[in-house]
Amino acid sequence: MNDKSAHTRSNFGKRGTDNADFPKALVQFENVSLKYNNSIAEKNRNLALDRVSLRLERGGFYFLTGPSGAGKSTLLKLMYLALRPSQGDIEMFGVNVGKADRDELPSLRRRIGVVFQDFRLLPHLSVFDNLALPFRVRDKAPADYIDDVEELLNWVGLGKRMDALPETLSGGEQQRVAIARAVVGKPDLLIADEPTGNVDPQMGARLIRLFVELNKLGTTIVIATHDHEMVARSGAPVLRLEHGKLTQISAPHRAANSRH
Amino acid sequence: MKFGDFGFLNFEFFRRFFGAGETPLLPADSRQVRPLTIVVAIMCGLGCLAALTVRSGFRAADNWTNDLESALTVLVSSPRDEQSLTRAVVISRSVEGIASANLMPRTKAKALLRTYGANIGALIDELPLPSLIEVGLVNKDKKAAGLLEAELKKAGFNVEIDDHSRYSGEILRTSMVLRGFALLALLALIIAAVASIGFAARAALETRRDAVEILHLVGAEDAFVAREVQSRFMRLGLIAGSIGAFGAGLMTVLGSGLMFIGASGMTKGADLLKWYDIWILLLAPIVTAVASAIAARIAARSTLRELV
Repeated sequence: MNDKSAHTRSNFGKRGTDNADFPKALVQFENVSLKYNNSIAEKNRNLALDRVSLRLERGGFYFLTGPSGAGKSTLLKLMYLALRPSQGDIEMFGVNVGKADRDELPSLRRRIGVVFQDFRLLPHLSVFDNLALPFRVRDKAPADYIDDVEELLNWVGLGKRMDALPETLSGGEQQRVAIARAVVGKPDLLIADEPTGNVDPQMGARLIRLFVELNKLGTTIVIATHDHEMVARSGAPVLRLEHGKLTQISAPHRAANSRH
Repeated sequence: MKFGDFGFLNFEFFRRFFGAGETPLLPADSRQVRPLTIVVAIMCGLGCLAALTVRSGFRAADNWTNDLESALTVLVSSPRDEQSLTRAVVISRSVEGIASANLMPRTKAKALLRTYGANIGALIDELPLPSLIEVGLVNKDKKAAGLLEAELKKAGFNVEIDDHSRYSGEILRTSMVLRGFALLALLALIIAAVASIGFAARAALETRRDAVEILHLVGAEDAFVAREVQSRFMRLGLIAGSIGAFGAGLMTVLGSGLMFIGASGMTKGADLLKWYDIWILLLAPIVTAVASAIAARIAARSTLRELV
């Protein structure tokens, strides 16, 4: 696992890979705040995210931790471009996504794989079709991806269930499909929200190994988790959120210690 | 379902527009599809009937005006003896631009009077019926009327020429109004059908909001999602249009049959519609499908801008 630390200092005006000071920046948040419309947070005049600044290096492996309601999912949504910030700037792949035109977003999203906490598989599509989604939206012909999809399904142990509908799968199997869908397009950035929450420890360890292998191939990984043991074992940098604020960016042992 | 090589079906057009061999990414909600199909089928059927009405109206008006414009009626006031009238007919036939000339039989003249409301029973035989010559024109040549009047007057006849322009003008105006109404009805039906499809497309996207969001998050462009919606409504339009056109065809056949049995003269159904008017029914499903696709695409594109 790459042990690269995240940075909070700002150098936002300089862009992505061409930036001499930050040659490997893939994701950069600069004083990013987010306020949901009509939300409880708004009623309380709180921000879901409050002036968060961070920097994720290309090829890095990061954990995101924090108590429930701290803003982890919101931070991830901003990263996978489901939301735009209320304030501040987000630069991904060298593009200021807060100001990017709507038509620019699909090409950026294709570089991001997402594992949702609730899987978000399309219920009317088979396991195979769910995995093929990233290819189909790119208008790829089936012949171009059928082998990749089948290989990955075999790898996650669902090779014999590729025609099954998600509702017939267990929670763990659905999670494996969700993970497979996120990685099948070989993304530059993989974002996972509690990816091992519904699988047994053996499968959890296997999935983490998959993430590590992807990371070795250059994919930047961000995993939101409550599994402190996994975080501690990994040795990867940890981003900790509390009440919408990024309170800690540290090596895992410090994050673990901070809880006590 | 599993993707594979579609063999001879592996045409990009079919794959992209009809999703050949692939499970739709945004499947139709059967609770929405059935009533919508029925509504569009009924609208398409009514549209076909309106179009057929327009077509038959055009043909009827053409037939009537054609009959009137290609004929003249000569009213001979004097002399009215049979020999003179025969001479008038011969003179009429010799005039340039005249195709035919025949003395109108008394029975037909009586029938004409009855048509104008002369319900006077046996008294009609006591009336002094006018002496009329029916004249057919070559290529609706109205100049022949003047020539004919001059020739007959030169031969000592006191005549009046009726070129039917008063009646043909009225028929033309009436038929134009009827055509206008039928076209407006057709337009209203098309607008209603397109609006229904647009509304349904918006509703479909709203109900599949989660799926649309997933598609977006895996990198789908708005155009791709809109195309999914478009191809679905195109299929719906094709099916509903076919049902509507078939229904309209059936109603037309039945209606024409009833008109043929129950009516006569210029309203006889067989005269107003020809077998080759079936092109309207054949074209209807295609027009419905294309209109549905366009309406769905426009509605989808505008709705997608409001989503993630």
